[in-house]
Amino acid sequence: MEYGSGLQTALTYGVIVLLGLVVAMFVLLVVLRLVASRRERRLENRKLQILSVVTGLLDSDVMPEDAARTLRDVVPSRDRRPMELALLELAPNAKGGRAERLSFLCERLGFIQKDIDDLEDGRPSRKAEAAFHLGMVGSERAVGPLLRTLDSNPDQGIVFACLNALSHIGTPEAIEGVAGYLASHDELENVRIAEVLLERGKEFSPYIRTWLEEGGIDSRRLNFLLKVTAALDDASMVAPVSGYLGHDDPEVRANAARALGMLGERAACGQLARMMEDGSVRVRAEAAEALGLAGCAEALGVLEAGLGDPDMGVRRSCASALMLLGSEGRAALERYAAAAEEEEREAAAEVLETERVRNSRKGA
Amino acid sequence: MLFRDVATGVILMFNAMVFVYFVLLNSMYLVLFAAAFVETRRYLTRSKSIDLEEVFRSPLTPSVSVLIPAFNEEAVILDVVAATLNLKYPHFEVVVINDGSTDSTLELLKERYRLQHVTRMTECEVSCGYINSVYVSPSDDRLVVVDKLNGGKADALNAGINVSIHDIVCVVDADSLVEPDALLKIARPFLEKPDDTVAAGGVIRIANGCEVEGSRVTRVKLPRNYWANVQIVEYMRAFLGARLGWSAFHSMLIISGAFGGFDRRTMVEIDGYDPNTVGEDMELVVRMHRYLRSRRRPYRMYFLPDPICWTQVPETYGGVARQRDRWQRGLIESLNHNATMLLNPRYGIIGMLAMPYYVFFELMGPIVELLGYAMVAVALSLRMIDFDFLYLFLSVSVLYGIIVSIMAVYIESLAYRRYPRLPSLLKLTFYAVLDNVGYRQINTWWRTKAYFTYYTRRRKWGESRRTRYAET
Repeated sequence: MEYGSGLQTALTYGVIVLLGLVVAMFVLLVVLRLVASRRERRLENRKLQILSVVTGLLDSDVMPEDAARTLRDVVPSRDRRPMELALLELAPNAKGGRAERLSFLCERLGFIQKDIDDLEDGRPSRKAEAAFHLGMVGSERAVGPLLRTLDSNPDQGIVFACLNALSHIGTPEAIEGVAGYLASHDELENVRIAEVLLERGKEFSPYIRTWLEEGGIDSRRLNFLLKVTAALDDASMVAPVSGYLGHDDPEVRANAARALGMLGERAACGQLARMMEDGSVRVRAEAAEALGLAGCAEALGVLEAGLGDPDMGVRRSCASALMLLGSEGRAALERYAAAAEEEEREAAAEVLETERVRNSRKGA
Repeated sequence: MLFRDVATGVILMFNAMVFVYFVLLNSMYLVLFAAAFVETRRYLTRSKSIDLEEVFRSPLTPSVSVLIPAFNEEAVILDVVAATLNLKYPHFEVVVINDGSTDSTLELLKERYRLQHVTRMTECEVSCGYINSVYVSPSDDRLVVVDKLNGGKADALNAGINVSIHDIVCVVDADSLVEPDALLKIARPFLEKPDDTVAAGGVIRIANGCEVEGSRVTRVKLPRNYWANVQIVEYMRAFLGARLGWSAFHSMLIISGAFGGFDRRTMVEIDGYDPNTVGEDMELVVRMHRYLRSRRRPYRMYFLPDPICWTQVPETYGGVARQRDRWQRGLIESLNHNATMLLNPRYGIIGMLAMPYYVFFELMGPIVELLGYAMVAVALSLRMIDFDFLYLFLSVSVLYGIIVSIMAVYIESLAYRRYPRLPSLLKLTFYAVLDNVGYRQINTWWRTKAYFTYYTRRRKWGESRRTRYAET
């Protein structure tokens, strides 16, 4: 049985091409790997050498101008990349005068100008990297270019890098720029905004308070802001947050309750206790946790009643909250664990027994 | 003469079908690998701007319950629990579910962690077998051990879901070591897109041959065993190629049972794992797609190429054969249980592309391949074979397979570099060739046999011989 010669010829060419491809791929793989490994090794070695020189200069009494000159003399121009990496490696942990000297070195050695140029005219991947660098070294000169880039780029990666850098730099102009951007854009991933806001929590607090007070925010963003607020530890947030305990969306009510608990606000105890009658399981569970976190001793009765809640999560939250309320809460739990309906007994026993196991570790 | 004409016609028709099948399958592979290349590049670029420390510190990072189902895992359980407790993550609990082990799995845990029995409220949110006791550890209150009657891996996981208290559930096999930052990486999609992320899977890598210290893989090395080495290339092709490619099309049908994160609420809504299947991981994901798509709920599943989980693979013919048999049966079951999705536009790209691919290529592939070999034998016996054509077709087929395997080694070598030494790279390339000559054919045989065992074997834990990690 013979096939057409056309098909056989095609297959023959196919075999030759594929065989060539296999060999070419193999050679290319080895070459690329060798080149990449060699380059990386060299870069790492040079970076380590330069790192020790820079650390020595930063720790000495040498004037910043002289330090920059020394680095320019000691490090050959082909080693600018490892020098940049060495400076960036030191940046996150540099504080006070050391951070200023580092920023000065970056400026004098031309790295900041290079990053600003990349930010304004570079490829998208370079723009984001440049923004991160500028943020790390805290260059105040970069605030203007960062704000301009923020306005002109829809790419989320670049936007986040710019916001992050501005937050790191932290000058009033930078903070205002970030707040202004966030007030008018809600498409950026929430977790990334949280990173930006929590980087300078104190500075951003007034803006967050204003956003919460003004309202008109969609539930998704609102939930996010309430979660951030919970982590801010700012008592001035209590009033605007309390306003959301009556919101239509149960998720918002739950997050508001949680935020009040985290803020440890005892003034909200009455409102939180009333939320234990909410129709939403999540709201009741968060309210119970908040009552415990805020130390609302007057809510003892409400929490005891919550031990009989039809939802297991709410029962668990009530029992945990009672444990947080000190001796009175503990006594209530012991009472329920000894004699009560099965559900109430289980909730109390779970918390008490887990606590007992924890304490046995401390004892040991 | 008539018989010969008919036979020639049948063989020619079959060959034409096989040729079309071959072209379609390999085109699919090429598309998937191209997508995997693009996705790898995109992921790596994005990873540069991600600071895991910020994920660790973020108040928005969700709490996670890590579930470890265990049945007769005395050789590895302490290593795995220690590795899991050492994960870098702000809030998590580790729930080990002892599924009626007949060895000393539970006793080892009790002794090592001085477990104490406690009351634990447990609601039957998903169906599961009877739970005997729940223990917690005074030395580490993140550890919860559930002792239950034997009911299979899916049943054990369902018990774990019921006992777990956090919103994200992460499943880890009892013979797997998760890298310390893997939980932070796998939780990231849940943090970034909390509203629609329902599942995220990581990469499974093979620990055979690696140096392990303190329940952590400290030096990545290739094993000496043939079976382990071909599986390393096979895993690379599957995870760094195919799954990443499918993920790019939002059509991933498998998240490995060895390491995957899931939204607990969605799991509860679909009643957790199906205890009547051996491929519970794939079945869960396919059913999740079916459930969410039929309700038109927006959702996303992610495959992430750098949260790493190390696992041991069998090193004997029998061990690999049993595993592949189980996987193929799992595939048959998953596709069978969710057959309504096949070519059903209601399920979008899953019904119109992913399901047909799995049915026509993954499910039917071994049969078509084996029929091809059988047809060669028939043609040979009837002296109706064109050897030139046969050699050429086989060469094209094998070379194509080799190219796909080398592409996977390429992605690994240039993007992730877990095997940094050049000799390892050369060895991997060598096994990328061997993978297609001999191993592929044996694998085809195992997978075809699975059709028979599918109807004869009862569902139970896939037992395989474990080695202590310190001895690997």
